[in-house]
Amino acid sequence: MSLRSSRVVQGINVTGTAFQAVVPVGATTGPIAVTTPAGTVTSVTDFIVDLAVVPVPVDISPQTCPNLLNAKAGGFLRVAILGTGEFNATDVNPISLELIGVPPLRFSLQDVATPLPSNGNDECTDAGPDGFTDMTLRFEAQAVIQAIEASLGRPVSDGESIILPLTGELFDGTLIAGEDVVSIKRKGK
Amino acid sequence: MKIPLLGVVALVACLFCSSVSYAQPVISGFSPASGEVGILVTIAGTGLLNTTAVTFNGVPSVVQGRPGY
Repeated sequence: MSLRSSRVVQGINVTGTAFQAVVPVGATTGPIAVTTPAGTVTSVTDFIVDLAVVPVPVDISPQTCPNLLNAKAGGFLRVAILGTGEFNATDVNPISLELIGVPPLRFSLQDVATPLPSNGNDECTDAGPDGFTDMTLRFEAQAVIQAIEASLGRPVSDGESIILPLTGELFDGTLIAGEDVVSIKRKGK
Repeated sequence: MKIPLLGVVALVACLFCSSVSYAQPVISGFSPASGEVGILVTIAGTGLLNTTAVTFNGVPSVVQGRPGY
């Protein structure tokens, strides 16, 4: 008997009319099922799991300041989800990620940057590896520009700063979100 | 041959010992209707005695104990 099943049996009340159970890690919205020696019963209605969004450190253009995004050029925009002592970037499900609604073209795991200190006043850092594995992503730059302009409802302007949200999930279904700022460059190539 | 009374009682009792019946479990409701991972949900119904497993959308849970009623 596993520890989990033994704890289940131990916790049942004596009347058989009610008990309490913990919403387990990894649970998603759906029915509750209870099994006894007489069979399994499933609830008619779903239990709705409110998924809390976990903030994660995001660094656009790691090791570079400012984070320039050329509105006229092609190529890629590099973005990193930064691992820390409390957050393991390898837990991130890469196919769930979107930068302002744009999915990444590719991803890799490597230590590339250090998060901004939470008590600092800096808005950008070019600090390199910190000993924690990061998830690096490549987005098509023009797809990101188009998503920004669709969001703004107008063309981007030279020199303006835009906050780009990165959203996704961990492999266990936990929602994550982070953001960083890009500085738009429209002049030249 | 004289059969002890206690033996007769045990024999009759054993006619039922292999056919212990349990009431079919019924879930009448649960509370709260929604919440985050880690919260306690009270599941009410009948026939819940001897519950061996509880799942939330197929994910195994841990029963913490009886509620306050």
